[in-house]
Amino acid sequence: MSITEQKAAAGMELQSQESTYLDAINQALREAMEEDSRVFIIGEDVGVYGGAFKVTKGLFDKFGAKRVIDSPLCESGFIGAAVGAALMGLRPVVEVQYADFISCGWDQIVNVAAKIHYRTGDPVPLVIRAPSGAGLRAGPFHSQSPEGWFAHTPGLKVVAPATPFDARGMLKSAILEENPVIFFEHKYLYRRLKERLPKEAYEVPLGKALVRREGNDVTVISYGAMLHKAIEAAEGLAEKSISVEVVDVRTLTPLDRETLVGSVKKTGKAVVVCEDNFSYGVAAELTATISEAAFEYLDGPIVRIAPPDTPIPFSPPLEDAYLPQVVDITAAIEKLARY
Amino acid sequence: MEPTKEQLMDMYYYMLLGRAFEERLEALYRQGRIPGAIYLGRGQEASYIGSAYALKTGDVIAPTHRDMMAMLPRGMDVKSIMAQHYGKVTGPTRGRGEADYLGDLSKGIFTTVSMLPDFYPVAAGAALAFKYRGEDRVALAYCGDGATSRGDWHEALNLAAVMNLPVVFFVINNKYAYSTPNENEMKIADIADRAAGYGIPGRTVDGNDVLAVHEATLAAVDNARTERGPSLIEAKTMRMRGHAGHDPYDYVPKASLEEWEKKDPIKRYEEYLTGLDWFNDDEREVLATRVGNEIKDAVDFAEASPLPDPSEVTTGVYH
Amino acid sequence: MSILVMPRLGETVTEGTVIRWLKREGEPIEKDEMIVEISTDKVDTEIPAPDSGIVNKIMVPEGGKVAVGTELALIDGQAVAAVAAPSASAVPEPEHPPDTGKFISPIVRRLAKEKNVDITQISGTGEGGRVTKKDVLGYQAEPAVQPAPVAAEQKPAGREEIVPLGHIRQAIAEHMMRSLRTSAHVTVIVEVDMEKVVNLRRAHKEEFERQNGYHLTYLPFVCRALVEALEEWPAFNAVLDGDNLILKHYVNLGIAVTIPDGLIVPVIKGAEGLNISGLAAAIHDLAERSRSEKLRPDEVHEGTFTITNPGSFGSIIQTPIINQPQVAILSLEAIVERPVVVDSAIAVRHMVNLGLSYDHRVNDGAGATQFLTGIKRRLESGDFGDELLSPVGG
Repeated sequence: MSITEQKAAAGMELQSQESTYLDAINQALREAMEEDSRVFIIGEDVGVYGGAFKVTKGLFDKFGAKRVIDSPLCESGFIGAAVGAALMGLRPVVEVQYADFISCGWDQIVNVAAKIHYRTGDPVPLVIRAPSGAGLRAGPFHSQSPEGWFAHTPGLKVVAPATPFDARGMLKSAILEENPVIFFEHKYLYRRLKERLPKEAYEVPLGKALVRREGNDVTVISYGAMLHKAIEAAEGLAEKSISVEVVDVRTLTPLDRETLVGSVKKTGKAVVVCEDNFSYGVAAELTATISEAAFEYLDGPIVRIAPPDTPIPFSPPLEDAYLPQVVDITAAIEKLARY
Repeated sequence: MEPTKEQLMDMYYYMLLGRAFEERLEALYRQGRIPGAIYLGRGQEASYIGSAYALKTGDVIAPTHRDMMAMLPRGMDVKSIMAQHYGKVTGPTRGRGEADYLGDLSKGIFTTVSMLPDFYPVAAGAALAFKYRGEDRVALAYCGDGATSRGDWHEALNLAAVMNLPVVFFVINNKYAYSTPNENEMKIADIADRAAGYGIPGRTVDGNDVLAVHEATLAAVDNARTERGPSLIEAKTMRMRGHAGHDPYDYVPKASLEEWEKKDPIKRYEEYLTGLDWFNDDEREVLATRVGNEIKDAVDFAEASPLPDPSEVTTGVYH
Repeated sequence: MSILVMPRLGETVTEGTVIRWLKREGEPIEKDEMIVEISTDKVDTEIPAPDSGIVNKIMVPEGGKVAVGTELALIDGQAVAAVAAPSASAVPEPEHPPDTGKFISPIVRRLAKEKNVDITQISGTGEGGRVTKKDVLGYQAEPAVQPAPVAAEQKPAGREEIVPLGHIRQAIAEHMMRSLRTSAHVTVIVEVDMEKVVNLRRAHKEEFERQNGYHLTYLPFVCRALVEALEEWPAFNAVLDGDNLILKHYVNLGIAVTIPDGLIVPVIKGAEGLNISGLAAAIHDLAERSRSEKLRPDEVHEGTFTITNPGSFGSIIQTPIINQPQVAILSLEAIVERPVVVDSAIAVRHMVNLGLSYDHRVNDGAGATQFLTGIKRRLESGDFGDELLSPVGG
């Protein structure tokens, strides 16, 4: 846990068992459903089967078929239905089996859910959970990081937690939101991260970035699975007396520009690391934000590290070449520090 | 159940109001007094009024851009609809939504979008919420023949059928999807036949006969209320204007339009009413005057209303 | 920048009040030096600063009451001499830097201008001899200020025992005595043959539980019958206001729920619009959240009639006290098998007593008995089958 999380958790008793990132999401769903009967889950194979990744495991037995709904295979259909239920006062949590499949429900998200409040003022309390990200040898259709598409759409909130603590707390916040939230959970992290979480319910607010590691020479900005590579690179560089600050974006929309810019004003140098591909992506937005708001504090070019503009390849050597690796991040930081 | 005298006159009033509103709107459009596009449903009055009048308070409808008339029996005020066309703050979307995409959830009317039939799944979801809470409410979604070719249409019907949801899918088959005639849209004669593919009842009805539409909708709504699930109604009618205000409508043979003009739903309904012993020209005059005044008041209201303040362009994207 | 938050001083404490700030904005502070005095339900105490630096911003004024975790103040650990930052939109004046033959970064140019330094006099340590930000700062011979490490101040979890304050008990006592002083209580009891409802429930309970994840009880059936009777006899769904009886043409049905501290009556708003399944869901939801203390304040107000279910603990006769300002209350007793005479023969039937306490100021025995037997007839008809919903998901 980070410093801020420890503070947030101060006074909270911790569970005796460690929870994975996946367990954390399950806990948030369970809590939200216990607290509010308007919350229900809909998606493919989420009920009896417990979800393709078992995120909803046990919820069907506890809450029944009415609240954990196995839908036919129709992303547009069930996302649209969730919007209708939300407009009628329920609080649906949709599971899209893989974030890659979210494009099958594209119109319901960007033209229906996102554009209601601006016109009518009606709240749309809807959460769409989407397991995203590469690194699992899953190829072009089960590895994408499409968060940029949605971050570009006004009316949606877009979040991408990097730790079990954040995954649980931010999903709770997302379910309490009155706006549509696209919740990108990085599936590479599902079972790789573990930590002891608070026993009692808590929320991590949306729209707040977090300084995960303090440093003075270079700021690295990242989120999701790439954040962990950025931290690893930062720790390695400490041995070379390069002091790296790492900022976790956590929420893409609304973006906490103040925290990002504040860190870069301190260090004067910035590296942005994203899993979304290079051009016209999240990294471009973060870079532009820094150059506009911190130009007179910059002591070097802003560096973007992101995968190339290609589909995500399947074969291990290709996928490894595609994804930014710790050595790539380390080299970029080192070069910028020397500049 | 046979409609009462009061119900018969209500439906007549709404049909007259809908037509008068559209006639005024067409004039305003040609005079350049309203900034946006218009999509008229002239000739489809019976389909709109007969169906929407079959619903109760608490039910919801999802209309499309052409379906303003379906909002009238739900209590949507013509002043606010007119203000929407003028882009004024007194319209239901305060100048944000395009003219023809409006609604009011408090009256059970979704504010829908241009992509059709995106609100078919949404209406199914509203029905899901009613069923989830055990409420005695029904959702009714409109679309035209064109939208039945899209995936959302089929996803919604299947989802609602599988979940046995209290929703009525109402298709107004007005022969053309913009300029594309039925025969280039589908290989079947009756859209209602598609219901069989989802295991739900499907029924074709004369869309120019307000009482037939009303009866068919009542039956479908009753089906939904008594938990026998969704159904599909196809109202066959004819769009008597182009797709939008700018459309010269020259892709339809003149003879066809002349033929359909003879089946005008308002004229037909008046003939029916005239055969009833209590109906007379005085009743017709009273309604005509009332409707005329309401349309005039609506235009006055819209023109006197303020335009939105440009400084508010970025407000309200989020709740 | 480190953040001082309202600490959670004890498990059950949810908020605290800022009594006095011991430091003002702009004042320097050492780590662990007392910065603020706060007060909570349990304790008044001074709070030490989490970090050394300058008190950058005080976010909660003296007297302010805020939730645990709320940010109270920011402490700037950098503590560098404040340099006014230009606003993001302020485009810097174009100027021609001294030609050093090397790239001059935006910050180097700005610092050099502010400190009136000739960049050409500085020997650069950057790539290709570029003058870096550190070089300019170093040329000023200002000691580079290292930010103090931010300490992770972690409070141990509270060990206090939760001591019930008894305020719920006090409120119940006051309310019950006031009701007895206010209303002319009369209780009437009828006996209801529940055989058909018992069979109906038996036929549906397994499927219902599979669909909903909770048991189907008898209470929703009784509530449905009650709601229908209230619509027919609105004088029991009313409030007495001086010389006026206010009839409610909607039913907000209060359900008495036992909780560890006593009793709470959450309200099903608009119960007339719910069928058996809807009522079952509402009862389950409200009961669960009553027990887990997750009710919203508006969910215990505006009831028009109350039902209590002492039968779930085995009682067969009770005379309930009216929940003011309502004018009647129904008790559902235990369903027990009893020998009864049916068609001149003795049969064993599932029987239940329904008790109605009503306010004799408003209603009389004849009306009360008609109302109660209306509920009895509805239950004995057992005609609820259509209302048991097929599952949403299946």
